[in-house]
Amino acid sequence: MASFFLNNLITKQPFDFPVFINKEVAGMSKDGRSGLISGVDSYSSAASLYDRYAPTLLGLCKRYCGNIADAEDVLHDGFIKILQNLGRFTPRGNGSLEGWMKRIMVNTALNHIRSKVREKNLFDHSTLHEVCNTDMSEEDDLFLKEMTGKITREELMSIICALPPGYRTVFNLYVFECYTHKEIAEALGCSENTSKSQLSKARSLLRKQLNHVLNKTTVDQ
Amino acid sequence: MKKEPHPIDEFFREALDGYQIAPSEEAKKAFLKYAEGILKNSISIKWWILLLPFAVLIVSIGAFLYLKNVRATGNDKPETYAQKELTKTKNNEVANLPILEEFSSSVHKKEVKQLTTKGYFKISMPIQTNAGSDKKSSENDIRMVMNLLTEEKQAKSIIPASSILPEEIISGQDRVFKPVQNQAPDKPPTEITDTIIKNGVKISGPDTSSVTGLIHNIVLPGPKATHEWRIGTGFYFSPELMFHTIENTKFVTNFGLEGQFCFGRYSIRTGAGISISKGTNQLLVEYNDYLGSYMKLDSMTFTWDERHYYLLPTYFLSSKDVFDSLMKLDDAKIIKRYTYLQIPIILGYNFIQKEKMSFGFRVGPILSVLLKEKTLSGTYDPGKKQVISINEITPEQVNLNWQIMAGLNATFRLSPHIGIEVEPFGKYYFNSVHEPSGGSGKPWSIGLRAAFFISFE
Repeated sequence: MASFFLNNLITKQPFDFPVFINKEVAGMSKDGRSGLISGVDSYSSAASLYDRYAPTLLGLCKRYCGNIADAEDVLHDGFIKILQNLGRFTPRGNGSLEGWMKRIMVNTALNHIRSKVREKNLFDHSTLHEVCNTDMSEEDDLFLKEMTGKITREELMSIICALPPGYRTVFNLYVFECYTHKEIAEALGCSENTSKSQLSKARSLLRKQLNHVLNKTTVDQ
Repeated sequence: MKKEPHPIDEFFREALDGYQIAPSEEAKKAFLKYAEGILKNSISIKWWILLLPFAVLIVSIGAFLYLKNVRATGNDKPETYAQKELTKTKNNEVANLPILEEFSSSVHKKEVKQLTTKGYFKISMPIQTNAGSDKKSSENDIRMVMNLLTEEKQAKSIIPASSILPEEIISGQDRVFKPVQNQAPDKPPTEITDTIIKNGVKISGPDTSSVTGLIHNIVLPGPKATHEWRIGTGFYFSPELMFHTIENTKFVTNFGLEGQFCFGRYSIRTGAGISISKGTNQLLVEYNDYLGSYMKLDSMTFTWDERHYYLLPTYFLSSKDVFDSLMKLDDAKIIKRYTYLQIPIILGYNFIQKEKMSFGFRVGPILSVLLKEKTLSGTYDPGKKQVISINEITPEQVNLNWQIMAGLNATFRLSPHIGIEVEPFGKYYFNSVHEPSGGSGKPWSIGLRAAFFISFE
């Protein structure tokens, strides 16, 4: 009977089963925890959770992995972890669920990157000579003002994805996850100096890529 | 330490804030297929939870209808003296009325047994007629008994006491008994005494003698005496589903032996039981991967080979493992089985207490003491990895905890000494390591207790 019911759940979506999760995703109710635990016990709730958060999390995964195929793998693994551990999540206010899910995705992505590349590949020192001056704040200000409106988000994403894995990972952790160099060093098992140098090189390369895009746009015009 | 803002960082952060990519349908299907497997077990458990209230509801309705039916049957007929007496004894058991007549040595005997249900009498009438006396009198006596039998048939085997015993006799008044048609007027009246004896104690006095008729003595042994107190022992089994634990939902099996002391509607229950549950001890292991090994040269010596005129080297080597310098994290789970000794002290009160069943509530504390724990999944084996540290994410379960239990109890007596109990209950755990982190509440559980017991009065 249970399997029959389950089949119904699958084939007749959306099933009229209490989907507590919807309350939670709309903005964490006061008793979010019990709601979440109850919520993911239904198939439709899991689907709701996926539909709501998967696009954002896939964007995050792609930033780390560099390509959509790996990003979808990470998204899949991450969502399984989320589903299995949702009962352990303690809500602390609006948006904390998304933050918690993002943390899981980041950790999953880091594990994925670690499994694919070794440290020597992750932190590629061969391009060190390319970095001439990492302190380009004033120039960057002017340059980035020029860039505004001339480049799409997809192009920006592709620029990040084109970075070497080490640069990309450190840049993502530092800029988007607001990790410190110490935290990055702990997470990646490297020294703080390595983290700093990787970030610096990442910025340099990004600027170079942005410049390239800008020139291309100017020529096209 | 506050970070220094960098224009490039700010530019990318702002530009890609809220960036989304729609996942492919294949990815979604793959996830939902996997999720289905995870949720399947929990859904089947939920079905059990959903069925439980229905089972309780059905049992309650059944009990209600049963009791209602019993009451309705008991109220159909007018209450007789004997019934009043039975009511006084607060017991509805069937009375036994052996009616004995002793005039002389018996010529023939008739025995009439009328089995009745509640509120009616089971009558045993050994009838002895005097062979030397008037034959008609004997025949009349027999007819009277036959009349009684006819009444019995009319009443479909259920005869109220008032239909068998004239009210005058039951009430102890002296009357001439004239139920037989052809009784000769010149017959000496048959003496009858209606001494009513219940449980061997004379209720009405012997002065109610000299009644014409057959019945000499009415002995009312009364209902079978039941003690107000009762002790019993039995075996119980109670599966239980815990919620709000560190591992979400947890299934616990309890069974054991218990003793029960009942005093009227009140009861106290205690015993010794075993509670078995599985728990996961989650570990976070930091390690360096094993990459391989090489033979390290420790030392070498040279020996002069005189025949060939060269130095002959001897190498002393030792195996050396090589580990990755990148630290990795591993999430290890060790499944353990915890066996607790449970000592309950449960107090009870029955709202409804009948001969065949009772219905009430039970409440009381339960003490659980850890007896032993057994690792089911095997301990964590790092293999050749170089373990840096092992941290416990979820702690092991505590050695001692207290719970409070409350439930509704339905007891069904299969015989005066044997019965079964069904008891849906809820428990609240006071100090359990099952509880999730964050201090957002204690675990609680629901379950169904089934027990088989033997009682001694």
